[in-house]
Amino acid sequence: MLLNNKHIKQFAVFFLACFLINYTWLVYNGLLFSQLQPVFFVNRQDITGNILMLFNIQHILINSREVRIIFDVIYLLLPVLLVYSCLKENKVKSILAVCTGLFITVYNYFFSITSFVSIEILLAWMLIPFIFIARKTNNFYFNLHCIRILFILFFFSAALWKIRGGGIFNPVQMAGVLVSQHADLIIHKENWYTKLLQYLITNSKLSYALYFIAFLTELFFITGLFTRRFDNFLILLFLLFAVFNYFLMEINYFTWLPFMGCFYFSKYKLPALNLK
Amino acid sequence: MFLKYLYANSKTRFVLFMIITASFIFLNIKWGAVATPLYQYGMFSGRMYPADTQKIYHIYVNDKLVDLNTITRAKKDLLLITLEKFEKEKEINDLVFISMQKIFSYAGVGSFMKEDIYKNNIPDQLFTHYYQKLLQDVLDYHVVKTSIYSQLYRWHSGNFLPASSPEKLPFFVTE
Repeated sequence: MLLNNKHIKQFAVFFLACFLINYTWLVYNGLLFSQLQPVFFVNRQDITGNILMLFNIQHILINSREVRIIFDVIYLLLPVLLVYSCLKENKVKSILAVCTGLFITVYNYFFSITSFVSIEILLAWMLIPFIFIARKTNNFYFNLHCIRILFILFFFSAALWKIRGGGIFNPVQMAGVLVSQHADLIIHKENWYTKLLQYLITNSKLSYALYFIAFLTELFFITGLFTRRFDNFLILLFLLFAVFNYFLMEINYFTWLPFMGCFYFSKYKLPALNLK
Repeated sequence: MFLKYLYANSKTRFVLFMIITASFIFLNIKWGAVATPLYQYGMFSGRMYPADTQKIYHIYVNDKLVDLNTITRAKKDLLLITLEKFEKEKEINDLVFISMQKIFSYAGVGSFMKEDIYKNNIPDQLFTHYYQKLLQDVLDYHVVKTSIYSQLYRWHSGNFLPASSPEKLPFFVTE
């Protein structure tokens, strides 16, 4: 089937739905700038981020309640406007896509240095808006596939890092990870969840098997560079990865869900070139 | 094949995509600074051992230990990581400033980096006040008295054993 405008709109709605759920999660946990009211930041070795910091945005956000509110409002408004313009096939869509991608990148950088949230898990919000820059269906196709390939490289690189860092060669790695990740919970109280964690830490072979499965999952994503045949399977693998990470590691990788739109819509072919 | 079609469709898009991909690979091989939105996805790749020492915070509110199992995961992280980050902020910000200034200087823009922009100027009293308010918001009850201790633990024979005595956080000023 050929890629058409209906698919672009479906992807836009999917992105917005994910974004709004995430925004609601932020509100519920009191994590928006206006709720958090940060008083300090911890810088990162990030070249782009440090260029942004030259403009002193970090201190402005810490000192001005009004700026924090404006940031939160724009952060919500831009994706909504972007998706609305996609649905209406409005000409300002491209400009909105650039503004949304750039603003979300700025917002998330400062959000990550003033809160506890790691910036890596916020990547989808920064990159996906750029797919909608395209005015024509064929450009949308190429944008979608570029982001799909980038995500594959990101995800696959996690497996390579496990080889480089040596984690994959350490038979007690997952036990060590669980200890580091959940020590505070286990020490403070005993319930079914902490008992499960203790069981996994004690049975390091079993926990290592889980780590190895995660490694294989990350490794398997490389197939996406050569074929789109497994894309539905990759979506399933990612969902399992996200569920297990949330349950066992308390890390929310569901924020990467919008990337799965790239894998879902990859099956549609380009009208002009009819790629196989 | 995709790259061929990408090149045929738009050379600008092709070049941009190649630059981003090459930068991502370079930053990962180089292993050090990143450049938003290109990161290193380590995901627990460094060797970790169950016997590694763990630093634990004990938060007491109104003379009662806060039960972290009763709040959401995000709120638990908010309480604990905020303490952890504040404890290290001066050291990390100083180190990052030095390394970033080196990189910026290569590009000839190192002089634009003013040290005070890259540092916090937050007294311990202000942080304490902020954290007490945070506790009140998260726990949803009136916070009268707060004290926080850190203690080292080590996993041994199926359980955590204290590896040090509890120490009051020096930057948490309640008096």
